[in-house]
Formats: sequence, C-alpha cells, structure tokens
Amino acid sequence: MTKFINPSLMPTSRRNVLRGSLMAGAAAMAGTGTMAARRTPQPLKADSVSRNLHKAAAEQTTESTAKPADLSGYTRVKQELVDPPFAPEHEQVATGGPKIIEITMDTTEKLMVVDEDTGASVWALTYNGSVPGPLIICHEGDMVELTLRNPEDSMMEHNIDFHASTGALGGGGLTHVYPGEECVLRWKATKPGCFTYHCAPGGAMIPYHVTHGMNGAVMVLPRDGLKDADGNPLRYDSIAYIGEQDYYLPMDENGDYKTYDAAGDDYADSLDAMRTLVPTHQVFNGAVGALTGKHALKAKVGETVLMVHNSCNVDSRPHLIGGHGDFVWESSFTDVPLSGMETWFVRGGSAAAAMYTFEQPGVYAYVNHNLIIGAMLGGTAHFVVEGEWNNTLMEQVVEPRPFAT
Amino acid sequence: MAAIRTSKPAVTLSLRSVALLVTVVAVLGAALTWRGASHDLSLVPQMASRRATLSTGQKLYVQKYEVTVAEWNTCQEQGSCTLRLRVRPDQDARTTPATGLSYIDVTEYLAWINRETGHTFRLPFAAEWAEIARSVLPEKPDPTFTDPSMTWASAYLTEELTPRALKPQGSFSTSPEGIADLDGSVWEWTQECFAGASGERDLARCPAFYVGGEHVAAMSYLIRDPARGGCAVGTPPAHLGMRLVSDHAI
Repeated sequence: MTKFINPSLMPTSRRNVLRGSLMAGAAAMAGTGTMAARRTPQPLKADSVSRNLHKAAAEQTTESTAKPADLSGYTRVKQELVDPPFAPEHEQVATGGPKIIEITMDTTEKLMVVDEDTGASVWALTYNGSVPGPLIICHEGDMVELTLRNPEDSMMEHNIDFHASTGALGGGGLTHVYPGEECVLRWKATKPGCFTYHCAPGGAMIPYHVTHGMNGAVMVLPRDGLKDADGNPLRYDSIAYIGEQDYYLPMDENGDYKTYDAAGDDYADSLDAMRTLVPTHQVFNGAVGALTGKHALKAKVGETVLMVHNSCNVDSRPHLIGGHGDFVWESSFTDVPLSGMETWFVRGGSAAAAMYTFEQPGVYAYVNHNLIIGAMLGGTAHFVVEGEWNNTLMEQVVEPRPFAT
Repeated sequence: MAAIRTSKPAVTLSLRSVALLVTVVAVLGAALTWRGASHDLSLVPQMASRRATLSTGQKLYVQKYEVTVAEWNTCQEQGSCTLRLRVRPDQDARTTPATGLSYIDVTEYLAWINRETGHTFRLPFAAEWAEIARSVLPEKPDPTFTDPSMTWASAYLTEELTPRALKPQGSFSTSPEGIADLDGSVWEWTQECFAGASGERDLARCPAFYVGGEHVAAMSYLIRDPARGGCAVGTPPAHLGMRLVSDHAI
C-alpha cells in the first residue's frame, strides 16, 4: 500500500534549501528554472570518489583508447516498468538475439505513510514513485539502457548503482543527476541472478537515500530460463516482487514520529536515528500492510510463484508460513538452486529468488522470520490461495475440546 | 461467537475487578466514616441521548463516545490507573479516544469510575456490543473461503474497511441512539471471554476477550497494541479502547 499524502498539495520544493540565504532573493528573480539548471560547481566532499571517477572518465574521452561498444546484433526493445509487487512483461526463455532494453526511471520524492496506525510517514526517495523501485527483467547478454530523470521539483541529487552491472561504481559514477537533469546509462548484463540497485550519491547520503526507499531489483535470467540441479526447466506462473525496507524514522522527545515539510528536512535527525542501526519499521513494499488484506498477493493451488526478494540494506530470512521454498537462488542463477528450504537468506545488499508451487488453499504469511521484525516492525506479506483442501497433506483430526484431568 | 449472556447482571466483571472492587469497598467503607459518600459527578461521562433497547427487551445505557485520553489520565492522576496516556501534538486529549489499553488496564478504569461516581458502569458483552453497533456497521463481506476445511482462514478480509488512523471522537458514524464511532478505528473491549471449546470459563483466568469493532476479533487480555502481521491471519484491530455501558439510567 504505497500511500501518498497529497502529493500535489505538498510538492517537494527547493525553497527550504534556499530559505534564509542570500540566494533566496536571487532565486525569486531568476526563477526556479534557472536555479535548477545551474549545476553546483563544487561536488560534495563525501562524493569525491565518484566525482573524480566521473571526471577521470570525462577527461579520458579525448584520448581514450576504449573502443566504442559494438551494438550490432542487438535489437532495441522498450520495457514498461510497473509498480511492485508486479513484474514487467517478459519472456522466461529468451527468443531471438540479445536485446538493448530501454527503460526510464524518474527519481521522485514523495511523502508516504509508513504505518497508518500511528501516522508515521517519510519523505520517500523513490525510483518511479514506489518503494521498492520497479523490478527490471532482462536476460544474460542483454544490455539495459536506462534513462534516469530527476524531476525539476526534487530537492536532491540522485544516481543509481546497479549491482548487476560492471564498472563505474555500478553506474553510480556516471549517473549523478540534479533536479531538472536526465542521463542515459547502458550496461551489459553478464551475470545471471537477482541483484539489487540503489541510489548512492556519496557518503552518508548513500544510506540516507537507501533507507528512504531508493532501491529495487534487477532480475537477469539465463537465456534458456531457470533450471533445477539436473538441468530440468523450471517455470513460474507469476512473480511476487517484494522489497524489504528498513526505515529509521526520527521521533520527538515523547516518542512520536516527527513530520517534515519537505524531502531532506529530516536529514540530520535521520542520521541520528540510522546510527542506532535499529529500524523503527522494517516493512515489505514501503508500508506496514502494503501486501496484506486488500493488497494480499493472490494465487491458486497448483500455481508456481517466483518470489523475488530485494533487501538493499539489511539481512533478511524469508519464510513462507505453511509453505516452502521449493527452489531458492540466494546467489546467482548459475548456481544450483537450494531446494526444499524452510527459510532462506537474503544478504543485505542483494536480491534473491525463491520458487514455490502452492499445494493447499488458504492464507500464507510470507514473513521475515526474525519474528520481531515480521510481527512488530511490519515485515509481513500474505498470499491468499484458492483451491481444494488436501486432507492427506493436513487434516484437523480433533477440534479443540476439553480433556479430562 | 460464545454464548449470548445479555441477561447477566452488572456485577459480572472479571475476578480481578471484583478483587479490586472488594478492596475499594473496604477502603471506601473506611473513608465513609470521615469523608462521607462524596461522589464526583463531574467524572460521569456523556451518555448517548437515547438508551438502547436490545432484542431481548433489555435496556442499555451507553456512553456516547469512547473514553478519552483526558478522562483516562484523570484516573491515572488519581493513582487508580497505571498507564499514563499521551497525545501527539496534533491531537486534543479531550477529544482523542484513549487507546493502547489492555483488558487489565480497562478494569482499573472501571473500578475507579464506579468508585468515584457511585455508578455501576461495566463493559458490554459481545452480543450487546454487536447489537448497538449493527445499525452503523457495514454488511459482512462474503468470506474469502467457504469450505469447512478452511474455517481457519475464512475470516481473512481482503476488503479495505475503515481507515486505521486514530481520529478525534465523532469522526465516524452515529447510531440512531446517539452512540458515536462504533464503526471507527478503535476496537472496544467487551467482557465476553473467548475461551475456545472449553466453554464457560473463570473470567479471572480468561486468556482472551472479544473486542467490538468493524470485524470480530479476540484479543489476549495483555495486548495493548495489536500489531499486524506474523502468524495472525487477517487484519487485526487498529487501536484498543473502551466505552462504558450501564444497566441503569445515568
């Protein structure tokens, strides 16, 4: 349940950054367009590593020995990204030659409710307005060509680091976009598996952006699809894309969650809260209850679901209560999948996939089986599964009844 | 749902409460000799404009709103309620329902309000609550699962109901009797024990009670904040609070 509080009524604006400075008057005269176009000349100190790399790359182009990429043999296709927990249209087995998959993501900053019960909210930093960012799917050997756009009304600089990519800090060094800017990055998917991606502007801004929702997953499928240990094909009917998000929401002296007028206003408070390493919320898909009740995931007995679990920052141990992980890829798709798993592991800073075929109808809880996180911090999703009950697998032989003492 | 026990007298409180009441009576007895039977009628809450008449013919006098944070804290300030409640800066204690209350907490309040006012307030039974709320509650949605093997999951709600945020009193519906917010985001403790198959149970050892709200729920007597998720199937109540009823006109 990605809920936005009056996103149009309360747009992120740059005024708070400028307020109280001499720039305010100048900005009023020059107009925001001029302000947005003006690039900060001095990079942040914390950002110096990727900055220098960017510069180094830029300087080299005049005398570069790097050969231009050979794009012959590639077919250009567009992938329409969709909101979690859904997956974009894709082939499980690649047909035709390698592709250049064009995608577009906007770095939007939005006020989102994290827990409706308490009113806890966060100025989320997002890719395409959702937490997690959209799932991107390609095949090994394809290229992903991302247009990254930072809307004019953003407060902050953003970029993206694809763990699936190779070089330039995962693309982080080549994708810094300020409000009003866009850039295009192309990278080749050479390693099949599920990988996280996230914003990494530099220094403490990296965890700040990541713990404000700015992360998601790429799934790089083998060209001939998923296989079991014996090489038999494994196919799924649907994908459930789950992003585990740890939030560290600042509280006032009474323990109430603080509210802020604009994205970035919580920066100092957030850093103090993050330093404790204890999340106030650890949820699936952006908010408590985002994948339960009305928003529960749906399936039928006999259907196979591939659960793609992204956890950019914290370790997680997903468990499907009442079911199993028939096949689990914690690492790459080239490794033989784990099988018959009760609980599997998603290393913080990675994404993993688990495949399960439902055998019983009912409600399944997909939880972080650190149950404190699952039950008290929000790390729970539900599958509602239709079908015929199988009494061989389970039957209530005697209902609860008093017994003689 | 457990047996309907609408005809039970007002004194059917938990043994915990009874024990408290006995203590209270003893203390009051002593106090009467020097203080007199002085009751503070300013503590009597606003009741609904009309008494409720149940299908059994029984008359029930019901508090118009849920007990507020301000009312609760008076109990706390007088040393009779353990829990101190706070409101957020954007809330008014006088109009914000008292929430985060366990069954144990609400029995403390009951003992106090009855001692201080001389009235005999109690919690409703589940059937009483359901009846006074019927006019404002939405129709029951079709169960997600109907197969008898699936009763364990049949209460799962895939329909979005009331928003879960805590709102000031009067933000939700008012029944024809003038009772407000029965369909709100606060679930109200009843004294109906949820004892499973073992039937009638000593209330002092009752592990869980029904709470009145938009959907039926039973809560462990210890729970103050029904967190969502985990093994609990379905959507738990958002907030736990209380509303007083009486068998006698106030």
